[in-house]
Amino acid sequence: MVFPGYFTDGCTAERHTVNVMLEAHQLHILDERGVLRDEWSLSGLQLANSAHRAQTTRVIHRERPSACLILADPRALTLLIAAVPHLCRRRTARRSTATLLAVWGAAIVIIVAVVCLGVPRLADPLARSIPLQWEASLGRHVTSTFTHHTNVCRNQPGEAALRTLTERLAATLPAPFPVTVHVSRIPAVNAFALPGGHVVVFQELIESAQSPEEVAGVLAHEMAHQVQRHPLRGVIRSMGLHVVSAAVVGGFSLAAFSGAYVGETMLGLSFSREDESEADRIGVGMLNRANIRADGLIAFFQRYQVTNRSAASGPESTEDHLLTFLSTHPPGQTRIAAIRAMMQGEGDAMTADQWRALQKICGTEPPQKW
Amino acid sequence: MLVYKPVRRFRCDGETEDLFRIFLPNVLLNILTLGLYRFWGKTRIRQYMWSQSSFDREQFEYTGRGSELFRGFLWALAVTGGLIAVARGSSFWLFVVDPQLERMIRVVVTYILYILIGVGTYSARRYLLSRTRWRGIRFAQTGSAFGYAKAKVSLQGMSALTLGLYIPFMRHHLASYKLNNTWFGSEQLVYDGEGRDLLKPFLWAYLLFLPTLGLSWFWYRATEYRYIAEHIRLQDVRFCTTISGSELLRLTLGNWVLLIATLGLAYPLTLMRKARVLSQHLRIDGEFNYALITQNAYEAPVTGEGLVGVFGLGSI
Repeated sequence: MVFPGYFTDGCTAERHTVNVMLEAHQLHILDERGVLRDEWSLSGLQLANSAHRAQTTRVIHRERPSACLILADPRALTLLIAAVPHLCRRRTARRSTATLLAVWGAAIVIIVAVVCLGVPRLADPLARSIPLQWEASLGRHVTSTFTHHTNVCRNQPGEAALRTLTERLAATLPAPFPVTVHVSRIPAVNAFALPGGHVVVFQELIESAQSPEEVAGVLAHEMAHQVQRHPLRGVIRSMGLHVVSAAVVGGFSLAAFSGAYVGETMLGLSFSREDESEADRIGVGMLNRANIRADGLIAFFQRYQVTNRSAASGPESTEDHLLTFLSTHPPGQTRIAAIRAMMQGEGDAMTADQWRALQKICGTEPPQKW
Repeated sequence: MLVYKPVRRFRCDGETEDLFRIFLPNVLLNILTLGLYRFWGKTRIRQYMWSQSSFDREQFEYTGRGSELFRGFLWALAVTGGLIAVARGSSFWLFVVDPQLERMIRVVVTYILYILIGVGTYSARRYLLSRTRWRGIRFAQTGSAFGYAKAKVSLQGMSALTLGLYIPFMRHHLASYKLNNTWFGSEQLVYDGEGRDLLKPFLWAYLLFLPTLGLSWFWYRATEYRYIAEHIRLQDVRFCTTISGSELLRLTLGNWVLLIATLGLAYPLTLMRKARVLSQHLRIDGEFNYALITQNAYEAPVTGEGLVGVFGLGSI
């Protein structure tokens, strides 16, 4: 059988018009004058890139990496495949689907393992190895970027009441650094711990609290985070996650260098469920030793839970369990039961006068600094 | 004596539909593999686009592999990741010791990353050319990626200092560096343009930039394309493109709108539009002496496009 075609030998850019003779074990490539240009064994034949519609057939040979034979006649391919059945298979030796699945599966498992296990596990020893002065300095930096942009409430009698409560709680447990509490003029019920002993409590949390024990409970919880240096661990964890996600998605942002980024990370930070349980346990211990009733904390959680549930999906449902499983906080009922089992304190958090002063800590100051 | 010069055009025979059939599985696999499939996906798209582009009845071939892109990416990730880790670590520590020094280190690291972007784009071009074959002959790029990046930074500095008036010279120099280091087999491309020839069209575009809301830039770019193409030679055969400002404008803005409106899903369509317009206008007047073009011996890079991948700059 003879097919017309073109031949590029991979040595020069010339394209020769050739006739291809198909023999039992070989292809003979003859130019227009009938001179033999090349001989290709059938066993080494391969099809070039998977052919797309209306394209000429391109045949290559394993031992001639740059040469190419172009068959002008579309019927040539059918005849060639009849003679050389392995041409039907893809050019490259195809890995089995099982191998491919195994390789990709392993890759995904490794990534997930690094993200879920490696990063949090490394965060703890790393956080422990960072000197306290560094953390204090980082905390100052982060807190200043935060308090700089929002209004801090500094009504004198209220601050004094808050300081008395903070010192009473701090005296119950040796903290790595003095705790500073900032009340921020932000209309939301929230409080969080920043590295270096800084605790930020939002105005709304204090004003909506039904009793001073609620504030004391929240404060003890956040101070317990401080004692365990959870905020620093959180920073390291989220930085690690950032590096891993950047590796996978393939993009590093220059913003990631800036100190402001660290601050941002802190604000979006959530502690792990273990961290929260631990903070509950240590916080209630602090309340006990300071002889403050812990039912304020329970009341606070219950109120929170009720509003959360009414916002989400009504009465107890499977969805509720799903939500608690997904959220970082331990399930509300478990949490409340654990607190109830531990609590021993019976005294008040502060006097009625102090409580009135604390609730007015944001007082009548103008709402905006600028 | 009149010499007959055949006029040869580039062709793009691809079908948008075929490209979608490659693109959509790529998107799916990308999601399933958290983005790791993109190197193989990109390779498949290139294989298709190259094989559908032809000149003088002979299609182009793309011989790159996904694994090469992947390894290039890992390598670049190690370099930039290491750099960033050091910078992050030191900035964390320097909050404590010396905030002034921290700012300085940030500037230095930003500068290094900026240089690396230039290195990356030049190396990416080297990889792409080394994996492109036509008539069995490889393309290649010589020249130093670092030299290119350094030149780019200083040329950009000059452009900033002259309030942009140096831009046509900068663009000429960069084009010259890239084109004069481009080879088809044993034949070196020659670009013999002059930066000052681009000054007049640039000044017009510069003056009309605000009145035309920036659209005059497209007319400059089209003029620049035509000028550069006309000053490229390979074996004394000249290139030519007939693209006009309005066509370039329609292509670019159209592609932007398509990409934004479909959140990127129209990518195959935009790619095909671009390939069609560019090949429709590019032509070569004359005949190469193919027998004199032999395979080049320039060492092809083993991996490719790592830095471009890390910085997210890759185009095709």
